[in-house]
Amino acid sequence: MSTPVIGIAFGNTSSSIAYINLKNDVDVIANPDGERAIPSVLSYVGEDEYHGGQALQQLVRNSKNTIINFRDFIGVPFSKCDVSRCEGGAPAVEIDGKVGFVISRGEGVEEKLTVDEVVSRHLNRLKLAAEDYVGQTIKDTVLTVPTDFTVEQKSALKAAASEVGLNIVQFINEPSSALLAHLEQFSINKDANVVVADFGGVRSDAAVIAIRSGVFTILATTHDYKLGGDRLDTELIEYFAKEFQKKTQTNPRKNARSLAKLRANAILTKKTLSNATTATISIDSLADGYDYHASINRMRYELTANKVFAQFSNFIESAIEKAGLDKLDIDAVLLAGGVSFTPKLTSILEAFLPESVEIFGPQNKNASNNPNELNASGAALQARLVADYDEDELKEALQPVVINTMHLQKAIGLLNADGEFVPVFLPQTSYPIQKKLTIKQATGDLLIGVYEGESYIEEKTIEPPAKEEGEDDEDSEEWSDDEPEVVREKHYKTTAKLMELGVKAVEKGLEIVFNINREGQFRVSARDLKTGAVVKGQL
Amino acid sequence: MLSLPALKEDITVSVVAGAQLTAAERRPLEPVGRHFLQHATRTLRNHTWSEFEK
Ligand SMILES: Nc1ncnc2c1ncn2[C@@H]1O[C@H](COP(=O)(O)OP(=O)(O)OP(=O)(O)O)[C@@H](O)[C@H]1O
Ligand SMILES: [Mg+2]
Repeated sequence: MSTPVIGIAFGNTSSSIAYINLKNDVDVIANPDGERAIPSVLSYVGEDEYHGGQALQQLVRNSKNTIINFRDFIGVPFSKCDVSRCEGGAPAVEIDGKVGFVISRGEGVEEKLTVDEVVSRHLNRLKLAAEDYVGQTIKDTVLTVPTDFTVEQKSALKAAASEVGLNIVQFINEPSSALLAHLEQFSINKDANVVVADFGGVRSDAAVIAIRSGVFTILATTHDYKLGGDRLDTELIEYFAKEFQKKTQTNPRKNARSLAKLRANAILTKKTLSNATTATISIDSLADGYDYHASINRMRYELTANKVFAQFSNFIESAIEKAGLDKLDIDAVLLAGGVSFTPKLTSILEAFLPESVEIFGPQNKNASNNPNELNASGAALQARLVADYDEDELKEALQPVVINTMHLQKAIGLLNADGEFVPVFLPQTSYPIQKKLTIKQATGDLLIGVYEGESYIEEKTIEPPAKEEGEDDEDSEEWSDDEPEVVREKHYKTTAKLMELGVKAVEKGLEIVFNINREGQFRVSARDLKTGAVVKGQL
Repeated sequence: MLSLPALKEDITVSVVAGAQLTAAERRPLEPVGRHFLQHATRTLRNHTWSEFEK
């Protein structure tokens, strides 16, 4: 592919474009207005079309001609769409059995747009922004989609893109894209189970992903189409509206324009409170000519939106459950999407997950500062990788025989000197696979006992230390630390012995290789690092 | 660092009779990233890891 291949993350709320620049870095492209999270909004004023943030601003004065939250509707019959999402913008109507919008393009001129056309126009604006930035024509893109996007949705997207000369070379799943981007910057050199939690504007998606030798397998996904940043906005709107009403005896919710103003300011306040601990809000003539000036601190906001935050953490818990895993099986949560800027999200997850689970969010120095750019960045990385393939080669690499592989259901490993099972292949490792262990300090006659194994959770109750006399002061009521503490730990046990290898007179270390070929044949070999002598066993 | 137990019996290779891996399950990989594409190349060209081969 001759022109640069870009990556596009197209969300209901915002979209981002990225590419790999000449220095080989991921560059998230700003549109001409300097926006990197480009609102997925189109607005029409007469002949003029506005896009991105400029279009979003039209929601207050020109909501009927401002199209919002349309991404999920592509390729879905009107009857199956929850068009209430579009309230606040141009109403969604049925056109040719699809979602559509009727837009006024000046006095008496109406334009009927199907969602396909809206998507085409939006992608075209993204393409133009990318071309403007890169200084070259863009023809090809990798596009991220939610894991539950159907074949019909993808083919409708592909058609809408091709209308504007954009060829989608590959669709990739949003969570895999985010994880790819994260690992490119902050590699973890071990196998891990990661929950990718993407908290967007209108929806939340989570995927539990097994990373095995750098390859991803999705173990479970969950979706909530009514949970996202909009819900936080609603809580803030209600808080402000109540306060305003108390001060002025005027209900600002009754009037669409007042509500739109409140919404715009709630979003701003929410974003400010991700960085600062207080935010001020100032709306001229909110309703009935009254202005509204107020301030809110982060704590008050977190309290106000408490219920919603609890839903975010429940959502992650449900994803882990759906994967059939314990919280202790999870190594990390990767936070993606705009809402993930919110510090409360990290703290609430830290509180309900064990300490062993790392939360990769903007508050973690080993994670991106911009969780909302992960999807596009991953798409750009993938775009760079597939740019070296021609169409047929890529098609070949994406064939079912390549993608659908066998995955181990149990761990395979060996016993250490203490008789404990040490996994070498974790469950959900796909094969063919090979892993090499180098034990530099190994000497003497050694036993390599190879077993299948599985993990289990051990719960220990630790009684509080017996109280010394006189220590029984009033504080103890408040700090009910006296309850026995339940400590949960993950351990492994062997379930089946597979083979034993004996190596003798090792002087300077040992290299052990575990290998499963495509046919599922398992082999272990041990090589003396000094003499090169090899012992092999196979099932 | 992993340390191995001492060898107490005189064995070189002793495979447990009839030992088998628990049945594996077929699942899709996510077709993204360098490691996946390497896997694809290996599969398509029928390459394997050449353990201890020159
Ligand atoms: N700094 C911030 N702090 C808090 N929330 C933010 C911040 N920046 C963006 N958001 C919120 O994130 C949400 C948008 O996230 P994102 O851009 O990931 O959504 P999307 O992928 O387009 O939407 P969806 O996933 O619903 O299709 C909005 O609710 C927005 O207000
Ligand atoms: Mg999203």
